[in-house]
Amino acid sequence: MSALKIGCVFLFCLSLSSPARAQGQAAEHSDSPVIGAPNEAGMDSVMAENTLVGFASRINIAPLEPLPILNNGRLKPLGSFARESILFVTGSAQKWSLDPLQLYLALSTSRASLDFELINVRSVELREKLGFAKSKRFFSLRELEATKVIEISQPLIQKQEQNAKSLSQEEKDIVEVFNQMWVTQQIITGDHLAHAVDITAQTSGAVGHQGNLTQPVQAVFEKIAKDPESGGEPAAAALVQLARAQQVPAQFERQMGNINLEVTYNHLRLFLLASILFLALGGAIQVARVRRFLGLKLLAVFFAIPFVCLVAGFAIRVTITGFAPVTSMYGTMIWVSLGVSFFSMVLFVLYRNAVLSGLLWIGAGLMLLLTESIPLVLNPDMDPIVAVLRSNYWLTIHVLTITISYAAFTVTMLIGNTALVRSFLVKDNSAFFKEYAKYAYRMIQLGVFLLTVGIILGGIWADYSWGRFWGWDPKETWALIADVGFIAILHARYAGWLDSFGLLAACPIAYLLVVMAWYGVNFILASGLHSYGFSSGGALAVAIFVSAQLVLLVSSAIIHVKKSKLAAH
Amino acid sequence: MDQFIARLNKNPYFRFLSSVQLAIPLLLVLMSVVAAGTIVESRYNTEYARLMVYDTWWFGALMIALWLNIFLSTISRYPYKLRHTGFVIVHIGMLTLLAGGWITKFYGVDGQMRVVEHESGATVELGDLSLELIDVQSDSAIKVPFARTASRLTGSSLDFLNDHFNSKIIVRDYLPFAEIREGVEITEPGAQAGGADPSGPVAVGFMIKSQFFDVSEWLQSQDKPEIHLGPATIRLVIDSRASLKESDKPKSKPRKVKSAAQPHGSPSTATVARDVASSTASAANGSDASGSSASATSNGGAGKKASGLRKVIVKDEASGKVLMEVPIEKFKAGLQLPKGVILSAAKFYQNAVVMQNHLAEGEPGKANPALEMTLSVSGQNVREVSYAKFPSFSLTQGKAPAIGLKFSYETDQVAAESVEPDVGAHAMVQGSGGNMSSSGESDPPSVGAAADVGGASTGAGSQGSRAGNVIEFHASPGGGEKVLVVLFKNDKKVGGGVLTPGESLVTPWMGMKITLGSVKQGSVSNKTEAVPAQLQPRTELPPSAVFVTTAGSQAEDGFWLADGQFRRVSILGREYEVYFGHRTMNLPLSVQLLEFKKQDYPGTATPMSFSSRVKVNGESEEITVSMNEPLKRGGYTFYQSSYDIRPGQPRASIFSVNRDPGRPVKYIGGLILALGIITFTLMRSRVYHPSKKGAT
Repeated sequence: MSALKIGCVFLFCLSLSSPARAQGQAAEHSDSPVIGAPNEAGMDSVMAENTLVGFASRINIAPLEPLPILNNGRLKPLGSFARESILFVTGSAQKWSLDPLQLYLALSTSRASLDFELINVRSVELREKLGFAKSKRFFSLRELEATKVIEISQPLIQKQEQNAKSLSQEEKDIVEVFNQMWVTQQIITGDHLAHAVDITAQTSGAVGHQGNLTQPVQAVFEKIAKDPESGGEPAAAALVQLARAQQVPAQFERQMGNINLEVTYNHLRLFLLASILFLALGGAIQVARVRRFLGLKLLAVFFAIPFVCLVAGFAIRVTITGFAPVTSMYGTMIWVSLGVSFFSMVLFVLYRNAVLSGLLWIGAGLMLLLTESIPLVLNPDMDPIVAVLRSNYWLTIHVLTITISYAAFTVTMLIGNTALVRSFLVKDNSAFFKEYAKYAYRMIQLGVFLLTVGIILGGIWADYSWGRFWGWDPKETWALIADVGFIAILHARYAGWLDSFGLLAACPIAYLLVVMAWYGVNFILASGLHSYGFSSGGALAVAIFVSAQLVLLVSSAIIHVKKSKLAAH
Repeated sequence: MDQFIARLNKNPYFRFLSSVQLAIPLLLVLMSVVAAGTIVESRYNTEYARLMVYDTWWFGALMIALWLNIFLSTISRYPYKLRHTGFVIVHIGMLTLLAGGWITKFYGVDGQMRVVEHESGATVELGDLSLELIDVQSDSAIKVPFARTASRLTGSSLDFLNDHFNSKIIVRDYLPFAEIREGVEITEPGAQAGGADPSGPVAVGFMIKSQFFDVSEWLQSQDKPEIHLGPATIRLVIDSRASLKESDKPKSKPRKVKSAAQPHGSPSTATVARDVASSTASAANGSDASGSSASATSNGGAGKKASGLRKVIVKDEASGKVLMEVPIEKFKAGLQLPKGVILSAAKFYQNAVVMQNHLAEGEPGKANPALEMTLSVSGQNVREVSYAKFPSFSLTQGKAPAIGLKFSYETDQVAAESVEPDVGAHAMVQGSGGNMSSSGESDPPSVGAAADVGGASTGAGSQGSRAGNVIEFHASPGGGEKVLVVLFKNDKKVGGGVLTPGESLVTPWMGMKITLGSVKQGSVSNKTEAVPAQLQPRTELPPSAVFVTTAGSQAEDGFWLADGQFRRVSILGREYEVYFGHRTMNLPLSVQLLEFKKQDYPGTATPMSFSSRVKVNGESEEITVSMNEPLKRGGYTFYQSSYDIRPGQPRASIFSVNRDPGRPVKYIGGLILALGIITFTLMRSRVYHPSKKGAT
């Protein structure tokens, strides 16, 4: 065996392949329900799965939710930790319609077998490469262990250590599956929780003795296994108390105080609530009778409810993390939705056009819904940021300014698309186009102002922090490209190259540049100094958006030209 | 003035150059070009994107065209009316901003300075290249700086360089991206002297391969009789005995392996074995790669019980007297040890391996018990590691803060084990016997990085001694084909054999395979070859290289110099040095690095902050430079940009050094631009206002 395979991998394989360990685990709590033990009593995997789901759904998670966990450099409640872990392994935070913490605890407490198809192998190519059917998405540990994935991932992990950027997508997928297997195995043995809750051991520099929380964690597991409805009480309360009494480094003390706030935040789902309200209200407002019935003043009041939800959610995130949520795609999407709804009210105050504001609410609602529904791509975790971005108000100002300009451009995109769709539905649009072109023009001006100022502030920040004002870094370059794109529209309008329809049609096109600057640089190019937000996934969704946008544009342009010709005759 | 502008406005060329009809295509071209630049950057790297796009002449021309267009369109509106306010302010802001950028580009300084801890630095490395001819006697130099280009230059396109050197040297080839092949050239004296000179130098080429490295090297009896290669010292001995007797062979016959010998290997690469346990955890923790937030911070060792360990014995460091014996159950965090030392944490490893200066649990079966402790003494934390097999090893000995304690322990297993460390990969105890530069803190069974190995040497083995692992090549003076290889471990012969070129033998420790390449008589000189390199995606660019010939010599007698290399040559009887590399600049001040500090987010390997404590010009004031707190002195600004921490080497801090005369211009330009857009947005534009007709 080569030196590459020493250490944990060896132990990992050992613990995977040896039934002795799994049985030893079970022996410690012999009264636990036997779930999915392989080939035991002829139980097939579907039945085992049902038993597990049944058992999991009985677990009362309330007592353990506020258990403080140290993970990825942040103190977080077990509720968040379990959601992140289950999401990472299964690709969904609601696997089998269970609360992630229920599933997590069920896996750790029961004699869970290695045969549950838990691990979501996300890459179709990798599934084929490992010799599985393309359509099979979930795999058990045992199935994956039988493949060569452990073997082939080891040199890649080494390569990633040396230069994380040198991994190809395929290689990243392999490493990800290995990490998923690792986490799954850790959850099943219970080590995952036992280690993560031991803040003292994690922060003491050298790895200390097995912490003194191992026994309490075991006690909770045993209690849950016997009586899931109890939620592990009273052992759970004792564990929470012990875990909270741990000596934590000074920078975590504030986070320890925020654990309960985060539990509440996890329960409220304020962004989802705001999204649904925006969609409902925005839709209702499109009906003339509703508008008349409500009156314009009441409308503003109705707008305030989802807006306050949004602001409150945003504020709680800032409180928990201690920095503005602008360092990940998720954070900026929330902020842009906030911006879109804010601008909808600004436009409403200026132009008293309830239909327009309603459209923008639908846009904001859709954006929030998207943000909330693909956690794998838009990761909602609140983990800390890289060194260069810490506690710097220039960063916050510059990113907030740039992303709020994206909100202004999102408004122009929504206005533009409304006009494009309308060209199919209504015969004579000239008055509508003229009016909406005015709104779009104003929002472009606002957006260009904000983006230009944001880019300059970014330059000032880079100068302050790295000693250079401009360095052609992809993120800043693409922000510039988007800015120049909209500036070109303004100039083309001035030159008379774009009429009202042309301006409206150009907005969604230029918005694609914003999508590239905002999403594409982090997810597609993935290089440069702004590497904090790099991630992957969602490429398909974005590709669909871009192609739908182009199809809509071309077809409506054809219709428009035809109509104009008819009118000319 | 009015009339002059009015006349200009009648000129069709001026009208075109100042028109918005030109501006829009220029903007679109700019967008496309820089978009392409970002794709190049993501495909390769920042520097390549600069060479291919941003620093090219045509990109400069595009920017100048844009600047002129903005400038001419601004003056073409003169005399200005009220409605022009926003327009004029915005465009003046833009012109100022771009002008500031050019001032920075042409008059600014932007370089890197690497300072090693406890040393001073005053030299900044800049982005430009420089070819320098230094007269050794008079210490005068001709330095020709030039910008790196992406295309290969040969012949007369290199005149811009050659014109400066008065034909003393001639640059014949410039490779922007070169693959350097270091090799040796053997000048066999046979041709001139007529027959081999028995007292002449002998060169032996060999390859050493193990699971950790794969090296091709040469030894030469005059110039390079000995090298230190990580865990072993390799030495060439010219044996006066004319032939190698069979009796020299050890009794136990070493395995002989036939293998094809390569004359030159690739540049030495030491493969670094890493601890998969820790790399798994950090791969999962890594913020950028997989986006996996739900990663395990799980440590590979957690959950393993310290089954083999019975009790820990604490001794006085100086006298060796046993002060305390602690059964393992009681050896926990918080334990009060003698001399006011408190145990903060401890971890026991059955099969310790050292990975990247950290201990980790290794493969079972190769027992190497180790106890890792964090000790707190007068408020300071220190790390100590105690190995069952190497009782003399200590991390804390002779270092501040003094602990004055020595740890050892009893285990179930070790009693049965031999103390002589002879087990496979864990054998490199003494390293190369103190010949390597000593690192601050690394541990003896260094199987990890090759650079790690030998750092912890305790005894100072002098040259010629056979402490540690020694491989000796005994060659006969005539340079005969056969070479006797003798392996020593702490001055004890442990193996060897006679090899002819192409034959191999395997060392009893570490399983290194030694293959004899060739045995030659003659002098050896380094010869560097350079060929155009294949660019690798997302890695650093290969170095550039020049091919230089000296006055009076033939083209084929020239030599390659890669970035950062120099060579001593003799031109028309005078000694010179030719240097090729990045242009450097001496600062009017020096920065002394007292200490570099790096702090990670607890429980992760993600750096939270890093900072350097420095002194400027030896003044007594200590200044801390951190990420967002640069040091400003004498018009220069020093930013904490990076660091260089490698096992077995002193820590170095990397500063980005910057002087930017364009800064105020850019800031003012930015301010004007922002004010202009506000004015523009707030003042009602004529365009969308339907009551007023048409555009200008």
